[in-house]
Amino acid sequence: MSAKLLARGLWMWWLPVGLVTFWWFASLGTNSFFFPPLNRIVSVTIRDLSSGLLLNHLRVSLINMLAGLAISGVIGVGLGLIIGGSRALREATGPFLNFVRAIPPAAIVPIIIVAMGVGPQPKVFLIVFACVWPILLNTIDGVRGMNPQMLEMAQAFRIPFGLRNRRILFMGALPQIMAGMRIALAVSLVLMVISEFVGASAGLGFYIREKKEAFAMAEAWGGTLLTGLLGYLMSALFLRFERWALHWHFQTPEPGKAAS
Amino acid sequence: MRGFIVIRQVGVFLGVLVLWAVGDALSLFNRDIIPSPLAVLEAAGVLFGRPELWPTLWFTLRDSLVGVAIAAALGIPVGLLIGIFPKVELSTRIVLDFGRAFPAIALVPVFVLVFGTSHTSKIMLIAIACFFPVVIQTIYGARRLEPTILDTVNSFRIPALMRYRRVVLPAALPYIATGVKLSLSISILVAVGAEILMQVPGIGAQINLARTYNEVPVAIVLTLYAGIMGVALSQLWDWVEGRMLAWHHREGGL
Amino acid sequence: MNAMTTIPSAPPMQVRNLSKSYGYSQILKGIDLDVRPGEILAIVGPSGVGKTTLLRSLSGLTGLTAGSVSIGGKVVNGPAPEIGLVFQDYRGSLMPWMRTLENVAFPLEGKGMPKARREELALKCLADVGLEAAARKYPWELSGGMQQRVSIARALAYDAHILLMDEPFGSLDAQTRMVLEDLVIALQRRLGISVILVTHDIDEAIYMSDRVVVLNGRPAQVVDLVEVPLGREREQIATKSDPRFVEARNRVMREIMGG
Repeated sequence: MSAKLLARGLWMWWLPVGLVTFWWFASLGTNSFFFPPLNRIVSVTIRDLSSGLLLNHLRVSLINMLAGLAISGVIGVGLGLIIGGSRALREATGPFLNFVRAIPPAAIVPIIIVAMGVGPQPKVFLIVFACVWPILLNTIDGVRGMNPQMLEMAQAFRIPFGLRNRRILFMGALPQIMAGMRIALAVSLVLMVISEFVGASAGLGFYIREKKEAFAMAEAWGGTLLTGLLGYLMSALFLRFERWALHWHFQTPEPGKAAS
Repeated sequence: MRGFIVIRQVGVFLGVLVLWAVGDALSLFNRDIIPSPLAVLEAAGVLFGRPELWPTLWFTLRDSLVGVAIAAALGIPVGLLIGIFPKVELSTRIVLDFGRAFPAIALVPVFVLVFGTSHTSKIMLIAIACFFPVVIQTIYGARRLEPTILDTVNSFRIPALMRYRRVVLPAALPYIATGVKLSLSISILVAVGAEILMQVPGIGAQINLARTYNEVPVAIVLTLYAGIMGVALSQLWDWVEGRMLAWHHREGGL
Repeated sequence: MNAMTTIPSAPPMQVRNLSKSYGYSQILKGIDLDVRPGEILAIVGPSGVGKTTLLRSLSGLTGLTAGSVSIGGKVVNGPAPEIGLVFQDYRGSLMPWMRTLENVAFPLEGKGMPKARREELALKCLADVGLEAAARKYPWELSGGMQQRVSIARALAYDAHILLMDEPFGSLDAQTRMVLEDLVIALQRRLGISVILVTHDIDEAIYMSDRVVVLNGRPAQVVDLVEVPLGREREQIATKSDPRFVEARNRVMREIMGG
C-alpha cells in the first residue's frame, strides 16, 4: 500500500478514533449516573442487539422510514416534474409551497398521533408530510435549472409529454432530485424519532424513551448513539448510490447549465 | 406582467382555501386532524384574545435566535478553518459526516435526564442542530475560490493572514449567509419539536396543551403561526443579506 | 467526379412576409424566401441582426408576429416533422445520461418506433456521419466535432428533409470545421435534403451553399439574395481560390459591412 494512501488514511481516521478512544478510557472508572462509561454503553447495546430486541426495533423504524421515503419520492418527483416543467405553475405555486415547507412537522405530531393512534400509519404519514417538501422543491429547482436548449430540442423534435418528462426532465433534474432525497433522508430520521418518542409501541425512538423512563442510562445512550450510527450509515450508503446513478453528471462540466 | 403573477400566486392560496372549505362541507376530512376553516378562523380570533399567546411566540423565536447565534459563532470559524486547511478537512471529515447525519432531536431524552427540561437544553439542542448547516456552507464558501483569483493573490505573494481576511472571507460570505438562512429555518423546526417533546414554554408546548384540551383548531392555528414565523425569518434574513452583500449581487458573484 | 444527381427528397419551403417582434422592438420585417428542394441556403448578416431569430421562426420554435411559413404548400405552426434542428451548443442538446446511439434514436422513440428498428436506423445515421464506432460511447467522451456530427445524425434519423443549422460549427476549430462542412455537403448530395445554414463565417456560407441570403438593417430585411456560381462540386482549396468565390464573397461582405 502506497505511503500516500497510508498518510491520507491516518489523517482521516486519527480524530474519530482518537475521540472514541479518549472517551472510552476517560469514562472507564466513573460512577456518574448520567454519563455511564462507554464500555458499559457498548456492552448493553450489544446485549440488546444480540438478543434480537434492538434488532426488532431497528427493523420497525427502518421499514417505516423507507416506506415514508418511497411515498414521498413518488409524490414529490411526480408533482415536481409537472410543476417544474411549466413556468406558469412554478411561479404561481412558489409562495404557497415555501410557506407550507416552513411548517414544523413536529407541530402536527401530537395531532396526528392522537387522531391516528399508535402504529405504522401515523408514522409513515408524518414522514411523508415532512419529506415530500425537500424532494418536491428540489425537483422543481432541478427542472428549472436545466439547459433550455435541451427543452427546445424536445420541442423541436416534438417529443410527447410523458416521454419528455421521464427521459429528459427527470434525468436532467436528477442531480437536484438526489440532493433533495439526501435532505429527505435526514428529515425522515428526525420525524421517525419524534413520532416514536411521542406515541409508539416499537421502534428505536420507543426504545430510547422506554429506557429513559426506566432510568436505564446506559441503554438510553446506547439507543441514541445507535440512531446516530443508523443516520450515518444510511447517508454514506446513499452517497454511494448517488455517485453510481449520477456517474454521467460528474463527468460533464456543463457550461450551458444554469446555476442551481 | 408582474401583477399577473401575483394574482396567480394569491389564486393558489385561495384555491387551497376553497378546496378545504368544500372538503369540509362534504365531511371528507377527519375533524380531529383537519377542522373546518371557520373553526380555525374562530380559534385564531380567540387566540388573539389570550394573553399567554405572545410570550409563547416570543419564547420560540428568542430561543431559536439564540441557538442560531451560538451555532454561527462556533460554526463559522470552524468552517473557515476546515475550508482553508486541507489537513483539517481530512481530519474532521468523518466526524462532520457523522454529526450532520445525526438527528439532533434524538438527544432529547438523554438531555432531559441529564439537564432537565429547561430552556437551556432546548437552546443547546437548537445550537447543535444548526451548527452543521453553518459549518458545511462555510466550508463550501471557503473552498470555492476562482483559480484565477488564487493565482493572482499567490503571484503577488500576499501574506497569509491578509489573504484570508481580505480574499477568502469576503468570498465565503454569501455562502455563510446561506448557511445562516438554512439554520434559521431549521431552528424553528427544532425549537417546536423540542418544545413538544420536553414541554418547555413555547409554541410547541401550547400545541400540546391545546391537544390535551381537544382544541384541535387552536393547535392548527399555532402550527400555522410557526410556519409564518419561519417564512418571515427567512425573508427578513434575505433582506438583511441583500443590504450587506450588495456588492456580491451586483457583480453577479465572485 | 460528377456530383450525383439525386432526386431531392425535400419539399419546398416558402416564407411569405415573415415579421417577428418582441414586444415593441421589431427584429424581422417582411421576409420573403423560397427554399428550393435540395438546395443549401446560407443566411448571413451582421452580428445581432436576427439570423437566429429567423431560423427559430422557420423551425417553429418561435411564433411569428406576421406572415407565414409553408412546407410543401402547407402552412406550418410549430415544429414540423420535416424539419431537423442542429443547435450551435451541442453540449446543451445532447443528453449526457444517454449513450450516443440512444441520443440519435431518441426522436424516433418520440415517434413511437419500436426499439430494434429505431436503433437500426440510428446506427445507419451514425454511419452516415462516420461515427458508428461511437455508438456505445457517451457524448462527453467525444470531441466537439464528433458531438456535432451526432447532432446531425440525430436530425437525419428523425427523417428530416430540411436541416436547419444555427451556427453549427461556431465552437469548433478550423480544421474540424472544414471536415464538417464537407460532410454536410456530402450528405446533401447523397440524401437530397435541403439545408438552411445560419453562419457568421462568410467564407463558409459561400463555400457550402447554392444561394446566400444577406440580412441587414433594423428591423432586418433581405438586402440581397446571391446565387453562388460555383457549380455543385466543392473542394476546400480549389473552390476557395476560384475567382468567382472571391467575387461573391466580396459582394456579400460589402453588403454586410455597408448596411
